[in-house]
Amino acid sequence: MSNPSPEQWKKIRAVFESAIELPVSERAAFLAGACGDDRELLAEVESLLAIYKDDDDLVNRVVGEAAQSVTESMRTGTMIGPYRILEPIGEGGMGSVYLAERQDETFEMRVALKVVRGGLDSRRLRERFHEERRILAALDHPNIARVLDGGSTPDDLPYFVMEYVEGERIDHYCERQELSVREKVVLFRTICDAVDHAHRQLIVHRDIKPANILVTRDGQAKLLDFGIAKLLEAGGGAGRGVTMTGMAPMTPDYASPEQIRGEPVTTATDVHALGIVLYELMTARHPFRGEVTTAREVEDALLESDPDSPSAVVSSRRSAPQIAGDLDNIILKALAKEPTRRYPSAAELSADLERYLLGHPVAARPSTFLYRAGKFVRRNAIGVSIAGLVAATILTASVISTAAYLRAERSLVEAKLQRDRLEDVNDFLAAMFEAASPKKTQSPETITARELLDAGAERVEEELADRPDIAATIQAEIGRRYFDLSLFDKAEELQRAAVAKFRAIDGISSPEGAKALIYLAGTLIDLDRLDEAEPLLRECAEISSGYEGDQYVYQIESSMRLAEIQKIRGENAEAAERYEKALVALSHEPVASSPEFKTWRSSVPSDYGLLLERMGRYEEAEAMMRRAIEIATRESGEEHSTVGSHCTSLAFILGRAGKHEERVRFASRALAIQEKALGEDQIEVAFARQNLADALVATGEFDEAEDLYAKVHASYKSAYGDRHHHVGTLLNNVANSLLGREKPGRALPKFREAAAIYADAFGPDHQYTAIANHNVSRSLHALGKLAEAEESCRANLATRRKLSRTGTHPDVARSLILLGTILRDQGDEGDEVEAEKHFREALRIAENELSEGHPLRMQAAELLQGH
Amino acid sequence: MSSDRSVTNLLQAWRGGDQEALQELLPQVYQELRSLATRYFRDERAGHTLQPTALVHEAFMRLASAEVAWNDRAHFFAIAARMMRRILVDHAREKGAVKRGGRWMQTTLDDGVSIAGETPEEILELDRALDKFMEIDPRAGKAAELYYFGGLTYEETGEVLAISPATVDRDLRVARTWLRRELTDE
Repeated sequence: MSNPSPEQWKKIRAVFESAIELPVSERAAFLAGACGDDRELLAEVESLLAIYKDDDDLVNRVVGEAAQSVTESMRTGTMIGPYRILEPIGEGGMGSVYLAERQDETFEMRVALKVVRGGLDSRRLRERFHEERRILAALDHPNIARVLDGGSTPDDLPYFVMEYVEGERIDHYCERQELSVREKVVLFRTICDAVDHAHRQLIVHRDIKPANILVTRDGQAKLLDFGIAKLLEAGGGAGRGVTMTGMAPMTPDYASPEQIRGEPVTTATDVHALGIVLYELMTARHPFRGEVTTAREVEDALLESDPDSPSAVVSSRRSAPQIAGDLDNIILKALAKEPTRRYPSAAELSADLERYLLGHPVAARPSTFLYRAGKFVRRNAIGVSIAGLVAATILTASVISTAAYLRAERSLVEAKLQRDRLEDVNDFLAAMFEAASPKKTQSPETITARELLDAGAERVEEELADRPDIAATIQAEIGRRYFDLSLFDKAEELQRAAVAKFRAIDGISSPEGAKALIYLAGTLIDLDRLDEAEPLLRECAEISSGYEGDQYVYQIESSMRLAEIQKIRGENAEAAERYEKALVALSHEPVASSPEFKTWRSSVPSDYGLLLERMGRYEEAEAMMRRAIEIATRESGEEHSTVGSHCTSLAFILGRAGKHEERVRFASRALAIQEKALGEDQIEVAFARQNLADALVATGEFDEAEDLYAKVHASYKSAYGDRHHHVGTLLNNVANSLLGREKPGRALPKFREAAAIYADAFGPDHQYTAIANHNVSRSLHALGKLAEAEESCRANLATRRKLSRTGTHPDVARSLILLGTILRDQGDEGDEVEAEKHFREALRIAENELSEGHPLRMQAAELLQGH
Repeated sequence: MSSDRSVTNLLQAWRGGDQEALQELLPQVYQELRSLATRYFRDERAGHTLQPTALVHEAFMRLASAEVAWNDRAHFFAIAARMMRRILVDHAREKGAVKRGGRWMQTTLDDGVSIAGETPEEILELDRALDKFMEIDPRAGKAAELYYFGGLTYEETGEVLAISPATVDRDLRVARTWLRRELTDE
């Protein structure tokens, strides 16, 4: 009776309601009495009692999901951050994915935007995303869909923006295309390479599964969601004690035993997931999901049972023999319960698959214990002889590098060394993840990049005590990551340790040693400790002058870094010489076409262009910068962010040369490129925006400029906080705009704040602090507070003299001119005399350091004539 | 905004020709609807956490433009709940239509959420089941609509239907058992 009448229902309901008041044991007797002969009534009540549960779950869930679906679809056409939602393209337990486009007048960029639901703490997630974004941004690999951006929606849900990939799930693709076993292995290896690339950036995926691997129309596999799983865990931890599985009904199909047990997640975790994916691709069956269906049963199977050999379960008779043996062993090794029994890295899984494809013996063996023991012994034997090899190689290289047979031999030795190092670096990375496990650190829910690095830094000394060359290589790399996270003290510590180790083993002149020197010098330059950086770079330039091929990059890099230092010091002529040399080197093969030098081919002319600008050689500067744009466009495409940066620089040069209209044009183009290439929240976009604002100030479009400045200010604040030096620069430029509008009263406090920020960030004796202080003096002068202006200008002049070793930096001339002007305006006779003296000195500096047309030089000359 | 003027008073005042009351009513109605809706979206158990602002907006638009008599609070809530239900159902129908079209899709999310048997069409089944139930037990059906689609409390539901909260409790218990059976039967 599925359709009772209202009268029948009244009876059913009455009996049902009475029955549920009774203990279960008494119900049968009660029903017998209450229903009597009415079998339909009895059946109805019994069927209701059978499913009766006193909770609202089902109805609430159905309504809730429907409502959510509505809300999600209503996002269509709305804006989330700078993205316009076009249409929903996916939905699941964790949230929704939309096709979205960046809002921009000139460009159209399509992205996948994922809104995450499930009680996450979006503020924490945002913070964490911010911490890790640079590391995620480093994931530049053709088989990884890049994470571009993150933020929160207007209703405060976290979202991520990813490269939009149009594709089909890898398992569906393999099935539809009827790929052979070998074709599947080839395709799968590209995923291994992508995963390995990420592991080297210290990023573990944690959620690899077929749904996260798409194959595009041209057959390229793309791995999605890298770094997201970890971020989500970060957002979920806030005092709620929820895990990802607690937040959303998620099947554990692709979890590893250690994840289920709540143990450390390492690179081996991803290897396990890769193993499951490969198993499925080969057999079209999940290794642990045979007959069982519930989540719980799959979990148990993952923990307890060994999967059947893939060749035993595959239905295709043609595939089975190809899988049996090596491929079985490889897959089962990846699926080992104990992380240490799996491949230590995705690269090794990939390498073994390659051996399989080539028909070579694979590393995976049914009896992994014996195999590993044997390998351990072999590896250590090699380790013992390595130190000797390194020394011998270096000697050979410098003494008789022309002998062809020796060179061949050397490259063999190096290749071997390289392979061995690679393996050890991988092992070490895996160990780092384990060391930084949730169980061993204070915050239980997640590991930050910082913790990971700390753990690695701590262990490297101890664990690789017998392999200083590898320890040093790893220390230098860890130092580099600290640098990326702006943890300069730690960066310096590690990089110094690396350099010291290389020196101790006489390995400083190896490419790794040269790299360590460059890293350390880079950190020191950022800390404005140029005097310490310089000798390191000179050493590196010396070492690398004999390098050939791609390793010549260290020569270019150290030389360009030296040029940078010289530029900062105002030693323009010396720096120019370095750039000229580098340009010549870059125009010869193989350097002229090697991918290793791609960045330098456009950055050298660009940096040189900026130097030429400083020297007042505007025509040449402009030509050089156009050359940089042309090269970058040819090599990376006209919408690449590098092109944007060079456009920014060109705009700046044009401004200095007085071509303000053209400047605005290039600044606009730069901003458009950066917005499209990088996404709204990238700081480079804020830089480009600031540059456009500066350009607009010059053309007198103050209102528009100030709107832009406000946006830039907001970006800087959210990216860096209130006291970052970029905020200082912004305040300085905003104030400059105000000074340009003859509002020195409003400009003055901003210049002062900028100076204070710079002093905090760089110290009082820094060229930036001096620039802001110079502007303070200018404002005071404009306000007619001559005595105050004089005092601050004198103090600043003293600082600038101190900063310029030779006392001939053009900034010194700037201060002299300002001081002279202030003195002249005071109008006393003694002041007149002193002013002339200053103008004279300024002109002398300008004549030495600046070209004829430079405004500063012309100004000094004019002022002197006026006397 | 003075909170001492309740929605009901405002509704009455507005009905009496007080246009200012409407101005005061709108934000309150908005808030009311919003918190109503929030209740089942911002479910503590997680899973449905989207803010229903947009949804509520639409519900309100429909309410305002349907020119219904805003006699009292009961009417207001009853209409809100009914509107909400219609929105959900209409959407599920549209979505089903789109889905059948089929397209090259990017599925970056967990598509393995099948444990709970999530399908968007469940809401359509629920809707049909509720219609059927209303024919045989109109009061309990109405209570379910108010409670599940309108997000009312037992007290509010009782007030709308002029029954005690205890009766609401009984009605809902019966209604959800019936609905559960209808939804899980197949």
